[in-house]
Amino acid sequence: MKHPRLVWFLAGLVCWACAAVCIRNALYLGGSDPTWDRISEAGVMRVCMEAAYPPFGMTDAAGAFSGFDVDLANELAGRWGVRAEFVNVHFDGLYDALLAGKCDMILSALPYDETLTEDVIYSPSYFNAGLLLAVRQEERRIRGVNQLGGKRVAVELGSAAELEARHHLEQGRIPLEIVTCPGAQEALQALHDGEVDAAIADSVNVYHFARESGGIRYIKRFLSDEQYVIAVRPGSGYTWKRIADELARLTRQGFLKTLQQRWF
Amino acid sequence: MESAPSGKSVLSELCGLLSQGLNHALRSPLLPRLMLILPLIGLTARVPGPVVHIGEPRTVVTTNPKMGVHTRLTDEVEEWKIKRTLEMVREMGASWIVEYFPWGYYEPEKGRFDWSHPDLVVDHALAQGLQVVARIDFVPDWARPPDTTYRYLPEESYDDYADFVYTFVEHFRERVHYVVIWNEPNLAFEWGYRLPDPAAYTRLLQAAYRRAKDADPNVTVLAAGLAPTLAPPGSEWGMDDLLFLQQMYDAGARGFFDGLAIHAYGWTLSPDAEASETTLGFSRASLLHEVLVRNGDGDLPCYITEAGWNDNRRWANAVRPALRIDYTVRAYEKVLEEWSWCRMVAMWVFRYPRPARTYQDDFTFVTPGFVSRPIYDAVQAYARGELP
Repeated sequence: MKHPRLVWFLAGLVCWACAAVCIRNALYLGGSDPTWDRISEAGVMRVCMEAAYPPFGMTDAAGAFSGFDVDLANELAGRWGVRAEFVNVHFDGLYDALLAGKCDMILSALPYDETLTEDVIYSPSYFNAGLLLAVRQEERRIRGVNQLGGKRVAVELGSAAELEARHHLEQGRIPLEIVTCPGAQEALQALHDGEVDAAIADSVNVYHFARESGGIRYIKRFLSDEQYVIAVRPGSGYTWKRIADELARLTRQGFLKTLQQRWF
Repeated sequence: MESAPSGKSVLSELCGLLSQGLNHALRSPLLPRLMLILPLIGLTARVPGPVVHIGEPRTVVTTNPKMGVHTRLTDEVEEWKIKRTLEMVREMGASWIVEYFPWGYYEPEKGRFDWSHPDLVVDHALAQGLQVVARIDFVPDWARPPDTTYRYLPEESYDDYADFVYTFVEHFRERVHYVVIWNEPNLAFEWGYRLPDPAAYTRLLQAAYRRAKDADPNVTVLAAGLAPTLAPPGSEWGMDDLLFLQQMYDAGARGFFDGLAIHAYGWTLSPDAEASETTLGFSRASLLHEVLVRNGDGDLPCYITEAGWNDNRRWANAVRPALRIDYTVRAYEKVLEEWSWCRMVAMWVFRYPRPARTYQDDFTFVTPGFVSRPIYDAVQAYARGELP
C-alpha cells in the first residue's frame, strides 16, 4: 500500500461521519421522536397550561384560552402547520400531566428548574420574570443597586423583592431604606408619585406599570432570574430542536417583544 | 577459662547495640517519610468529638406563650441544621413545636427500635426551651399487607401501633408530654385509600390511649387533627371533619383523648371571618370545639397543630404576602386573647430541609438555607411586642 496513513485517516473520517449521522438520527430526526411523530400525524399540538395565571394564560367565561403563552403556542403551531390544543392543568400537576402523556409540551409560564433536567427537556428561555429595579423616568444617577445608598426603595411587603432589598442592605452593605407596600403595583405607584427613589418588583409588574401609567423606567439588568421555558418529555429531541429554533427565530423577528407589548 | 561477663560490660554492649541501631535508623531514607506519615496516622486514629453540642438550656422570650410552629425535621439529616432550625424557632418567639415521628422509621422490624434521630430532635428542642407535640403515624412494611401505602393500618395491627406508642411515650417520658394519634383519618389518602371510618379510627384511638397511659399516666393524648373538608356524604376522598368528630363520639371516643388536635388552615379568609359549617377557614376550629362542648367535653383543651396561610403567586388558595403576615399575626393574637379553650397554635410549616418546588414552599417562615422570610421577622416583632 502506497499511502497507508492516508487510508487510515480516510477510514477514521468515515467512522466519525457515520457516528455523527447515527447520533443525529437518534437525537433529532422525527422518526425517532414520538412526540413529533404524534404532532405531525394528528396535526394537533397539545399544550398543558395552567389557565389561571394572567397575563400568561387564562380562560374566559366560554372557556376560550388567551394570554401571552396562548399566543406563543398558537404561533409555534402555525409555523409548524398544526393546530394548538390546550389542556388546562393546575400548576402543580403540569409535570405529571406531561409525563403521563396528556400533552406534548408544557407552555405555562414554567420556571426553569435545574433539579428536573433528567425528567424533562427544557427549551431556551422565552421570558425572564425576575426582579427589576425601577426608577423614575427622569432619574439618571441610579444605574444599579450600587447607587441605592441613602435612597428609599419601595418593595412589596413579604415578597421576593423585599428579600432582595434586604439582601443588598444586609449582605451587600448598601445603606438603602426599605419602604414596604401592600403590593407590587403600590410600590411602583409610590415611585411614580415621588414618595421613594426606586422600587424593586418582578418584571411582569414593572412592564405593566411602565406601559399603563408611565413615568417610570427600569434598569435592564435583572436583579434575579426567573426564566420561563417550555418543557417536553425525554426522548423528544427533535421537538426540542424545533422549539429552540423557532424561539430563536421569534426573538430575532421581534415577535416575543410584540407579545410583551400586547400583554404587559 | 573465660570469666563470666560482668553486669557493666553487658550494659555497655547493649548501649553500643542501641546506638548502632539508632545511627542506622537515622541514616535510613525511610525516616523522613515515617515522620511525615506518623501525624496522619495519629489524626486518623483519633476519635473525633461531637461537632454540634446541645448547649445550655435556653428559654423562649415571648408575649404569646401559645405560639407554635410545625417543624419538618424528620428528614433533616445534619445535626447542626436541626439545632439551627430550633434556635430560630426560639428566636422567633414560639414556645411549641409540632413534629412528625414516623413509626416506620423508628421500628423498622417488630421490636427493634432506633431512637437516634428522634432523640436529637427532642433533645435540641428541649434545650431551646420548646414544648414538643409528637404526631405518630406511618405504618412500617411489616405491619401492613403488601401493595398498600404507608398510611394503611389494618385492624389486626392496631395493637402493634399501640405498642409503638407505648414504647415512644416510655422512651420520651419527661421529655415529650403530648402525642397525637394518627393524622387526618377523615381523608381517604391518610387512611390508606380506604373510605374514612370514624368507628375504626376510634378503636385505634382507644387502643393507643390505653397503652400510652400504661407508659406514662401524665402524657397528654390528642385525637388526630382532622383535615378541614366539605366533602359531601359518601365521597370517596374524605369525610366532613365536623361530622367525623361527631361520629367518633358516637363510636365511643369520649374518655379516650385528653385533648383534640385541630387543623385550621386559613386559605384566603381572615382569621376573623365568621365560622360556618359550609366554609373552610381558620375560624372553623371553633366549630370543632363546639362539637366537644355538645358531647360534654367542653373542658377538653384543643391544640391547633396545623394552620397558616400561603403566599404563593400561583396557588388559588394563597393570599398576597402582606396579607399572609397580617392574618398570621392576627391568628396568634386571636388564640391568645379570645380562644381560652385553645392551648396552642402551630403554623405550618417553619422550614423544609430542601425546597419542595411547589406551592408548599410558600407556607414556610425560613428558607432551607436559613434565610428568614419577612413573615418570620413580622412574627418575631409581634412576639417581642414591637409591632405597632
